[in-house]
Amino acid sequence: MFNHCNQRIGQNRNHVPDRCPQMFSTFRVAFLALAWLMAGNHFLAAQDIAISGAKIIPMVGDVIENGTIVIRDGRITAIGADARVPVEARVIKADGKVVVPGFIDPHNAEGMSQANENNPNVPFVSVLDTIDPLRPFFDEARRNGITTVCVSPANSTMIGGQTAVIKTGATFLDDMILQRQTGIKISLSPAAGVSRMGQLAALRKELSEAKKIAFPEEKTDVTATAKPEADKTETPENQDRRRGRGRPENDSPAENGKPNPTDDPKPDEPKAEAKADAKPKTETKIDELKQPMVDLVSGKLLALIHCEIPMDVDHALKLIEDFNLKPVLILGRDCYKAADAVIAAGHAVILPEDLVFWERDPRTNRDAQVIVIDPFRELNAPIAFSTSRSTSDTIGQNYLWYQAALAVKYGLPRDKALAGLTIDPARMLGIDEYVGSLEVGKDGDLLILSGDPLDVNTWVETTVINGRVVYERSKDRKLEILLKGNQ
Amino acid sequence: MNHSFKCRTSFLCVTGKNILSRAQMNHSLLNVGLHPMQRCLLIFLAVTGVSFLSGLSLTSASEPIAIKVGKILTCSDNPEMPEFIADGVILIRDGKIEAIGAQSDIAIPEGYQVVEHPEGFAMPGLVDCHSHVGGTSDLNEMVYPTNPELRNWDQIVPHNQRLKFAIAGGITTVCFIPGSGTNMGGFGTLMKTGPGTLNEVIIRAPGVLKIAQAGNPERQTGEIGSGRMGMNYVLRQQLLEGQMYVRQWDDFENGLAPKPEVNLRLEYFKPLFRREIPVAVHTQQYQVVMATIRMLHDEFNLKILIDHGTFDAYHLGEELAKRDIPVIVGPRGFWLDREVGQMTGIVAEYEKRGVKILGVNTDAPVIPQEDLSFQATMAVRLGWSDERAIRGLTIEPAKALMIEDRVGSLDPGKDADIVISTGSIIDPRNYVTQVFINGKSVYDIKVDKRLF
Amino acid sequence: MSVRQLKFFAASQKPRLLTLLCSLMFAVLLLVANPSSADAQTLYRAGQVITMEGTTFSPGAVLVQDGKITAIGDSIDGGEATVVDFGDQATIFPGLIDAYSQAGLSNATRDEPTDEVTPNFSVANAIDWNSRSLAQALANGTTTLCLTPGTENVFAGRATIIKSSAAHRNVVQTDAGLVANLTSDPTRRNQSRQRPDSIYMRQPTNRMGVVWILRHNFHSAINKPDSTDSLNSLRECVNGDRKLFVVSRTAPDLETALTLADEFGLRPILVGGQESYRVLDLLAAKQVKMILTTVPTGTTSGTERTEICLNRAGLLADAGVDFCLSGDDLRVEAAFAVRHGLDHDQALKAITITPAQILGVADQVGSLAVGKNADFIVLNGPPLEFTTRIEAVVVDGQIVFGTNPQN
Repeated sequence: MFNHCNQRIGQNRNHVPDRCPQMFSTFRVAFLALAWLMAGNHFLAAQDIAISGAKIIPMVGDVIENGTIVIRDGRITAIGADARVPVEARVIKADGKVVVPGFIDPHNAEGMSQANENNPNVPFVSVLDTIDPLRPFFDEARRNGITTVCVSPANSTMIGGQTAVIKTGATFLDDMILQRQTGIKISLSPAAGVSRMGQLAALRKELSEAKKIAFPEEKTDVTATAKPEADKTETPENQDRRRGRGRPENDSPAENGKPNPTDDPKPDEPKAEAKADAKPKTETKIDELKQPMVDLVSGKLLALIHCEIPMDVDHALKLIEDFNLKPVLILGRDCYKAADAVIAAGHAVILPEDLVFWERDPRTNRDAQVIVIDPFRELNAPIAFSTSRSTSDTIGQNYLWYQAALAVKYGLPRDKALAGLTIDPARMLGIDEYVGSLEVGKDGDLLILSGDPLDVNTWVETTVINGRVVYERSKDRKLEILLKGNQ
Repeated sequence: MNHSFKCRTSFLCVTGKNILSRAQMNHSLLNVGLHPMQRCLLIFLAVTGVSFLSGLSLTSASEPIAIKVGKILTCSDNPEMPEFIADGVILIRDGKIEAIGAQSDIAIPEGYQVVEHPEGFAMPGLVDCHSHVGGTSDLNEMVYPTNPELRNWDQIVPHNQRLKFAIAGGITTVCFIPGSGTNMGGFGTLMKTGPGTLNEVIIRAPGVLKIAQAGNPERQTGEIGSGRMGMNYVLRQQLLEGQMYVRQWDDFENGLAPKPEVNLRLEYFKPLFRREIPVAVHTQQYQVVMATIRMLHDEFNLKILIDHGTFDAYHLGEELAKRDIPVIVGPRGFWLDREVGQMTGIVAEYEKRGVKILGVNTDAPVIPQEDLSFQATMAVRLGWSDERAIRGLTIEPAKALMIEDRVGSLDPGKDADIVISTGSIIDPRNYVTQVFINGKSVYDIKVDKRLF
Repeated sequence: MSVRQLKFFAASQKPRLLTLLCSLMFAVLLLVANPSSADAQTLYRAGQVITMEGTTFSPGAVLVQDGKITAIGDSIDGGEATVVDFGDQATIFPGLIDAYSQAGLSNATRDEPTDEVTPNFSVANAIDWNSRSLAQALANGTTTLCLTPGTENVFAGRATIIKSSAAHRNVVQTDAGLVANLTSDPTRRNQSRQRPDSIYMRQPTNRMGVVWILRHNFHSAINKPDSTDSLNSLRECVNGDRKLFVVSRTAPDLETALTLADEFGLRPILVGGQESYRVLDLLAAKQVKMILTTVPTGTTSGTERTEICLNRAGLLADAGVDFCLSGDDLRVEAAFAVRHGLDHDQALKAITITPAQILGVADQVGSLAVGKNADFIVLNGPPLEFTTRIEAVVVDGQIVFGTNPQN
């Protein structure tokens, strides 16, 4: 069964509200349907599983001591102290263990091959073209309890591309995608050679142009599905730009390498057109390059905005307001100084990997400890944590649960810290319909822990994604070798 | 195919007819408005001129030949044709295999030149899907990231020095493709390694589209495409442009839309999107091959062949098998996974996972063209099955290139590309003693120097 | 001067004399009243006091005078002492000890580039008390540090043991031992193909050179008693009068270090030990003391491309090898060591009493006992939980970090 975007629905469900790429044809549907059926896809044969005897922290509602949770066809069907276990279910006894929803990493640039794009203005590229499920990141994710991750381009860019949300439990990308186009990564910290002035000016220009297309002045009825205007015809100049050569007069990096708009095909519309006298396959064109930014200012895509320093926060808040963006703020560690503004605006925040650091006061020349979490305790919006495997000096920062424990250490209430691993990132990404808490109807993504999630001695015993066991510590040979060393 | 030219009197005209029909089929160069007899004369001069210049032993062009050979490996898919014939004979006429069978079953007609290899092995000429030695060595036109207008049959040097060595290694057909310096290097040619004019050596042009989906094309300049996301984006855009163009022409030809303007840049996308020719994809490593499957096969519905598939991409074997995508492995044949610590034979892994159309290539000159059989040898050493290995040098690559109607097995009607060796070519101690291409002997160690 | 003139002089100076007298009286009063005066005592109380001497008091109290512990128990009558009560939720734990640190040394001061053999250079002359790294160490609960030079030289210089409090500038032991490096680090900048006048045109450029320099110098120290004084410190190591720290990470380097020790009669303290898990028997047999440096953060390899063994502390403990942990945040080091397999109590020892013993300062620091320095940290939970925070740090009897509950 397929939705209109040709995504398989079912066990390995791809949740794509209305943001998928527009390439579609009946032929392709038929072909893929056939392929899927012939695939012998083992997701069809997902077992029913039940986890019993555990302390369940559902994140919504009360903690259930000695509870049972039942997953059928990849979704939670029952949860509670008295939940009935179906006869055919595989039962995992979890006495003395703690069950929590799988952790969600809302912003991670690992897991990709060759992700760095030099051109800083590429809203039309997608992380899906470079996610590598065999990278060690995914192995580590399952080992440390991350079941869902929003993969995103890194920070050294202006408009870095489209992010996507994937589950970490499979090896073929199509089996992992939860949401194809979550948002667009924007960074206010400029790449080398560009000043902040230049970066902001270019960003504003792009957003303004998109806004003009999305909400042209003559239309009084501003709908979210406004069609973009047709673009100019092919001139020798455009031809140059299409081929990626030459610098256009206005020197905007956005122009390089774009194929000429008139040559861009319009995606076929989904329709029930099996008629013999079918309409021609080619129709009027939409500029696919501009579509993502149009969706951004129409609120259909999230704006994941990276702020490196406090002044970036002010600019970000202004951009959010001016262009009606739906933001997630990714804060650098110095941005704690702008916490008040963030709290007043009430936007979702992803905290930096350094939750505590030292800074020299320029007036007194004295070093003092800065606790980033402090000013954010008042934030009345979803909050989440970051990890930094590639840059961390300490081992703790590799783990989301460690960051949560550190937050508690420095004053964040425990419940909020646990929420920051689960339901808060789900809310900020708009995927809380499927993940982030253990509730009937949501995806069967959970962790069986050996103890309290924030305890130093707690390990992930089992990781379950969509009702399938994707990791068991007892069988984790790699971890054994890491602990004991390679003899 | 247009066989309007009739001339039965001269043997040259017969040859000429064959050459012409090939030319017409391939929309190729010989677009001359000549009287048929004039064409005949021209071809006669060309053929004799070429044969004179090449200096190799050539049986006269049309003379039928009967090759008597101790063992024949047919690599045939035809259930009527045995895989293996002892004391067999192959009858060649007009450049094609006329008949093949046991000597006891087939009488050699009058007028056939008889070639004897009582101890020899005969097998179909080897087919290499990934070769850069078919012409001049300036393989890449790298100004633009995609170059669908470029076609490398403009660069062919028939029977060049490297191809001569290739023949000595038994390779008779190569897929000559542009380099992987750009995402889309141009269209490549399926050609014979033997002597002849361009038309004579070309099997099909356009033969394949060349796409490189990672690595070299990731340029470090300011354009889009310095990273994998951008590179795939550029590729996708180009394919969309081509797809739209072909759809416009399809609509026109179905009477649904007015005639579009001819865009010379995009013309070769027609056979591509109509699935008449495949894409030879330079793709290796897991993520890249996965992107190939998802974009080129699933999204654009193209016929593709995985033309490297090395490193850890074999983990996608099941997905490839599901979709019947051919995999031609090379130049590396093994992978040492640091985690597993075990030397893994890549071809064997694909075989294990169910890939049916499976072969090896050289990426010549990365591996010298003549070493193609060694690629199979190594793959067998690392776990590939013997039976599949011979096929993986012949009929499977031919299928991958969509020319299995012409080459790849010894079946009546196919091109008479035959390799005689001292034994199974998988055994590196054996060597090639004679090679026929299009029914002519182009290499014979009794007469020529042994080159490999 | 006549008596009359003197009287007149005294009268005219009367205001000044009066001022002087008042000042003197005031000063005396101040001295008497000052709580940090020589005779003042402070009684620190908390919900729990872990001594690391085998006892834990719940609740507990520590009486401090002159920077030393004068009494310790579950309840103490402090008499006139100032009472500082950290509360029922607080735990008093001994100040942590880092046996191998470069805190307080800038990059420029920790390595001498002009010579590979600098056994007489001492970090005591290079301490920046106001540096951030020292403040960080203090904030993380490290009260005593053994400062050592870096890893760029074969014979790097002498270590110094200090307290981490900048206010006190307390040097516990100026000359604490000689540091040598048996790793590839000393080869880093040297190259055989240099301009002849370059200082980097010298050995060692590979490990063979490193070992040669070590052996050559120890050999000279022993066999040429009249040679330069610069080798005195090496002689002292041989005689056992001076501690020797040898940094080695890979298994072969550790073995070589021990072979050298045999050759020259040394008893080095090995530092680093990333691959010590491979030579456990050797370490146990020779009763070597180890200082393990920070746990690796990657999953493919550690410093100097050493193999990763997250539970090397646990393995060393099982083999009976004496070791302590080292790093910027000792509680995190210990917590992860426990997570990876080390016994919890062993881990607590490895950041307190064991490093004190290895450094030879266990009579002063490392645990809470009468007569020892009043160095302790105040925690709001179990010492090795990540959620536990350090509320205050006391060094030499005074609160030098965190909040004084009185204020």
